[in-house]
Amino acid sequence: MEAKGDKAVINRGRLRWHASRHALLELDILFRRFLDEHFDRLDDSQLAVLEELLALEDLDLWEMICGRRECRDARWNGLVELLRAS
Amino acid sequence: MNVTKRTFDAVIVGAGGAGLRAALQLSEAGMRTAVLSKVFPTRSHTVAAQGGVAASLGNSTEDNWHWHMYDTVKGSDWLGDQDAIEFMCRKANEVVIELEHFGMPFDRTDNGKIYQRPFGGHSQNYGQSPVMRSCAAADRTGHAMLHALYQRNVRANTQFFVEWMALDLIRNSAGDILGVTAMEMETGEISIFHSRATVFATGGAGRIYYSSTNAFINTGDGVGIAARAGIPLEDMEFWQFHPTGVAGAGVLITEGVRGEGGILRNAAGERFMERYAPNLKDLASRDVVSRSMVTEINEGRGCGPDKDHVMLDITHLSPETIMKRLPGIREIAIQFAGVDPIKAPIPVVPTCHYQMGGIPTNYKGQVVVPKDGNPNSPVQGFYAAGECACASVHGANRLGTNSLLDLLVFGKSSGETVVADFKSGSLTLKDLPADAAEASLARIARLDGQKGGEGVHDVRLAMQRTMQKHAGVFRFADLLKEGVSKMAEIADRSKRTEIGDKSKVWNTARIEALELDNLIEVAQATIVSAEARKESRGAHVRDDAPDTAQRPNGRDDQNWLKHTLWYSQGNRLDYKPVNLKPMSPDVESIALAKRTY
Repeated sequence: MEAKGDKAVINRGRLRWHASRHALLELDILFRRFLDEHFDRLDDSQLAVLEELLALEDLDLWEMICGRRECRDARWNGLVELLRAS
Repeated sequence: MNVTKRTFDAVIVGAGGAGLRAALQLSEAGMRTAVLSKVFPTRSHTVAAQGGVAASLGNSTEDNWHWHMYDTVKGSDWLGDQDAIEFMCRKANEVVIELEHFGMPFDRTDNGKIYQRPFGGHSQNYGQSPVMRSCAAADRTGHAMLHALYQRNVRANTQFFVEWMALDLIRNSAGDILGVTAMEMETGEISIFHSRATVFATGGAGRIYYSSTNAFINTGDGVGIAARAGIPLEDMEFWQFHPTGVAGAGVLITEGVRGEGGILRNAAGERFMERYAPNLKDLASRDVVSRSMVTEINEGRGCGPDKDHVMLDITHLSPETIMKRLPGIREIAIQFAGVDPIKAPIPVVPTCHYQMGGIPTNYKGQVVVPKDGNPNSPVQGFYAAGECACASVHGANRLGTNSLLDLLVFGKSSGETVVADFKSGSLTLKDLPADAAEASLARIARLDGQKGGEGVHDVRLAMQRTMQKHAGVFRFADLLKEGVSKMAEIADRSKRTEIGDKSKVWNTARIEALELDNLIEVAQATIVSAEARKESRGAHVRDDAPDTAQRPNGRDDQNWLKHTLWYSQGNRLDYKPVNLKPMSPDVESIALAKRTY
């Protein structure tokens, strides 16, 4: 159990860092608000979606948040909406 | 704490355009090369560069490197070193075509050549008419460049240490550089990267300002680290500002908005640019618009409860025009200013954009310092390229599209110099001093043990607000003087920062505290250098150095045609001559003249 707990802590820490530093200021600001307001309440499935979003190119993710590009996966819609509203 | 030692032929800090270009040179030459980066390489801030890369290919209009060199010297307000500028402009075609061969998807002309666009400040025939010199890949030039370079590095077996933060340089008693200490973010463990060559390519430090277009990652790590290690910082008073960043956020509102008819207004709703630039009005040059905005704010005509911004108004444009001609601007205004620009004006302020100064280098990418009477004596084992370095090609002001060129040319040249030194046998692996990691361990221990200190966020905010107010786009003697004292106090406060989370694993608070140490060095260098330079030149514009017949544009070549060098140790200044002599004997120096467009 302890090993699993450690792994979860590491995973959250890694995602928090990935979410906090981007190539674009636009994403840095939106994600800072998102981290403050929502991150601690995300469940495992939401964290998995966040990981997928953070694997995208920053320019593509920004266009998705702006609504200029469609989400490739319908599961992403919820978090993208949260980011847009952050 | 256990400190692991890793040995490489070369360690490169930073994996943006300059770091990747340097790494490629080394790895392809068979050198064992480690690249450290706080983020995955394609997340580097180079991605944000959209405008293009300058090269006098002459594909769209007649062009040659002599004209490009003239434009760059003039743009620099004659503070750029002409040997480095000649080198950069002559090398431009080579590095751009190389990039094309690496798979960079440049825009094309009908006959298949690289398409080139015009860009501000670039001209034909020594300022006579605009030239098409910028090579772009749609609006994703920086992004495409990084991807092309990253793929090439993977092929060349460059070893990446992703999510590692460099902490301090390691120097021996002779002053040679022997590598860096660095922290792995996942574990918080400290390692020594022992190397024959150390190349810094860590980008700029635009986050020293409250309003900055720079991403959060731009904390000037390499610049701060170099300063702590006793390397002087060159020309740090010169920062390029963009007139229209969203107030409070910094996100850039492109010049195209004013091109489409956007109007700047003060609190009374007045179109104030009519008073400052009766002909060009809102389309006057960046520096004129920025200074006019600051004057409005300083004279109490700013908007909002704190009267600290002006408004960019496009409500008179039709919604169709805004949606069609200015895509993205509406989203930016809604997201970051909370206003729909179709219905209400956007609050904007002049915003820090690019760092012209940095770690002093020559055109070979070697870091140079004054020693034994030589103002440019190379530091053994130490190289730098890109925005963190000062070659100096941008001098007092950078031309658009010359930043991507800078990182390609000097990324490559620093790599070439390292390879040449390696092959000649002059680049040896020198013995580490016993206390190689001591300074870094002491910084971490101080942070972990601090009681009753101040929050990192509070100190950073104090620094950013002080820099914005006291050393912004338009500078005043009394504000600068006061700012120097304030920054000294803030630097003292930064030595007592405290973090609540002392854990090792992915401790973002610790990373931010360590980044603040670097930002503070840069902020101090900037304001002390700016206060001392009693002239206006390029981006450094002082109220008490106005445009007169004796001193056109407020520039004082008799007393101030020299590079500033700021030393962290003692917070002191020194100066060195500007090199007005080009690299080649048959190339004529660009003679001093008033900078007018």
